[in-house]
Amino acid sequence: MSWDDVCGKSNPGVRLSVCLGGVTLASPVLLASGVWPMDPSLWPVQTLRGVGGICSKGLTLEPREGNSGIRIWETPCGVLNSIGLQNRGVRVFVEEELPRMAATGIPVIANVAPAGSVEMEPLLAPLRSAGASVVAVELNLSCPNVADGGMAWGKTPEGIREAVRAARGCWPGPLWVKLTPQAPDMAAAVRAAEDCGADAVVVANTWLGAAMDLKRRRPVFDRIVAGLSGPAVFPLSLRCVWEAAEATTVPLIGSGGIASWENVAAMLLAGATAVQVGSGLFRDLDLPGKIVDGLAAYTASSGFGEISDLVGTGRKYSEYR
Amino acid sequence: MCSGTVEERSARLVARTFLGGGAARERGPLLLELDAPEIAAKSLPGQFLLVTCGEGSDPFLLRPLAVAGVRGEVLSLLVQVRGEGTRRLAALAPGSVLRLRGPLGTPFTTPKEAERLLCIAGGVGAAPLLFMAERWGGSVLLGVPDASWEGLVHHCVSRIGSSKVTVLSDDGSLGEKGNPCSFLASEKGSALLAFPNTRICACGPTGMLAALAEALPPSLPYEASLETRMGCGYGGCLGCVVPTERGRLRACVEGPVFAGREVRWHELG
Ligand SMILES: Cc1cc2nc3c(=O)[nH]c(=O)nc-3n(C[C@H](O)[C@H](O)[C@H](O)COP(=O)(O)OP(=O)(O)OC[C@H]3O[C@@H](n4cnc5c(N)ncnc54)[C@H](O)[C@@H]3O)c2cc1C
Ligand SMILES: Cc1cc2nc3c(=O)[nH]c(=O)nc-3n(C[C@H](O)[C@H](O)[C@H](O)COP(=O)(O)O)c2cc1C
Ligand code: FES
Repeated sequence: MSWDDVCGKSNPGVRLSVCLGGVTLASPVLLASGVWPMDPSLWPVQTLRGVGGICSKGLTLEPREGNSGIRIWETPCGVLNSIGLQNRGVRVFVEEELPRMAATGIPVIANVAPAGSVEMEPLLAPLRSAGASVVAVELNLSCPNVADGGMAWGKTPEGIREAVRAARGCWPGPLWVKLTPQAPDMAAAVRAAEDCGADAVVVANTWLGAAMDLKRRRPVFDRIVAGLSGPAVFPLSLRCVWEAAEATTVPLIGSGGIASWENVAAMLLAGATAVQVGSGLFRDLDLPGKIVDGLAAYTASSGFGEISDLVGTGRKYSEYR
Repeated sequence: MCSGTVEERSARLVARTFLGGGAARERGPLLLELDAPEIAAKSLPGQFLLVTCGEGSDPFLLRPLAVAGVRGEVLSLLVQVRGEGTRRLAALAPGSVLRLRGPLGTPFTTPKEAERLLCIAGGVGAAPLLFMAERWGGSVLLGVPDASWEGLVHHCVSRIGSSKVTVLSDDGSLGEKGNPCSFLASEKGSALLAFPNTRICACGPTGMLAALAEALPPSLPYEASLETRMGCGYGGCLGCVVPTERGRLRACVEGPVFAGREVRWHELG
């Protein structure tokens, strides 16, 4: 199946494509980092319908084997994960994984998780050399599952500034910044990213949680804390998107708990230009296709011609009262 | 390995059979037969499915269950009720529609012509091994806790014949007293292992699989199917990894069947 078959068939009257800080994507639905294989021979084909782009797993400078112990734990309407950035390192990504992913024709976004500013240049240099195969870099300032870098950076505006500045200095292409919902002031966080040159901001990553194993009388996860995702967090991430949209004009990408086209419509109305689906795929491999079908119908019934016409319309509610 | 063959489809439950009697009825094991022609046609022994346990988002994750048999367009599962998800599965009446994701994972190695399969099952671990014995031949050593598992024993016998099934129970109330490991250490057991060209395939509690890795003569090929928690089932989330000599490998892609001696059993929780 080619990418042209994959996108845009659902409602010929409605344009699905979106423009996201220098990148045009055929659909506003992206596959979130960390839930999709890097090897296209494993991709369930039915999931690709409606997908506008794929975020790679969190890439680090050196290969990482990730966390020990239990990594996945179900919660009411959600899931806790403690993967810990298991990946083969950025060089193997550029040499082996990226060429195969890019050959599918689906835009690839490289999610990077540097352990500190000094790692930024060596981490991004291989991606620069990959040329147009990487449509954007998504700077992950939000991984709750590692000791170094990750979320520690994303919690304060100063940390975000330092990281985005460093990345901006060595990545000339589109730069997306993925924030953590653990940042106490979402508006300040998104402004910090904007000030230092982010082209788009992803709001947000998983929520810090924990679980206790009653049988073994110990925390479930070896690192004690883990990241919560899935439908349980959707209202929280929608609130974050709302607050971020209040504070910035940079395009926003909503992430957290999306499991239906209605969730995506809510994100767009709140001000997101696009969304990422992660854990939702654990339950439904047809989710992206169902989302674009539902969104296209909703767009048409709202009297608009493009999905992107919906963006921010929920913020003008006082005009309709 | 599964190269793009994974799909998710709806399937109708055509039959549900409780194999346990009396108080054991509700906790299973029970046999679910599903009308799933496409997935049935592609499934191999050792592969598994992710199965929804009902509508809505709670329970959120699909449950991994081994393909326990394929007959024409009908695929069967053997389910032991352990918690909320499997309890809901067991409560589904025939005619209900489920979502199935699969076939997933790397199957057991296809036996060479001269090879003799000895399948070692702990309880509901019999599921993939019955499929294997039906498709490829071989005999099954089945360990169960007690007589409440009689229904599973009958099911195994009805599928592959009584001459192919050896039963062991912890309390001696069914078959011989003991478990697969104690049996293999006995005179009869050692005689079984001494047959030339024997290959061991096992599925059951992790403790049993680990003990087998320790106890079996190193010259015998030994494959074990492991249970881990799973998110996606298609190799994306890395939530299901197993510590091995080749690094942390995904139970849903490189596994669930692993070479028994490459697993780092002591690192498993
Ligand atoms: C490859 C594979 C094949 C399997 N085949 C079978 C089979 O054929 N028949 C059968 O009865 N069972 C099988 N299991 C085990 C079965 O998946 C679990 O018993 C079931 O998921 C428990 O769900 P629950 O909601 O009833 O229990 P809960 O305890 O409520 O489950 C909560 C969560 O924990 C996970 N979980 C619970 N126990 C286990 C466990 N022991 N191992 C891994 N994850 C667990 C569940 O998947 C779920 O995500 C298999 C597991 C795997 C990995
Ligand atoms: C198993 C798993 C692995 C993840 N790995 C990463 C990662 O490597 N980098 C990253 O930025 N986000 C990662 N995330 C976060 C997701 O990309 C997403 O932002 C988050 O899960 C919230 O969305 P969801 O509720 O749709 O899953 C991961 C999430 C899960 C569930
Ligand atoms: S369950 Fe997601 S990688 Fe195996």
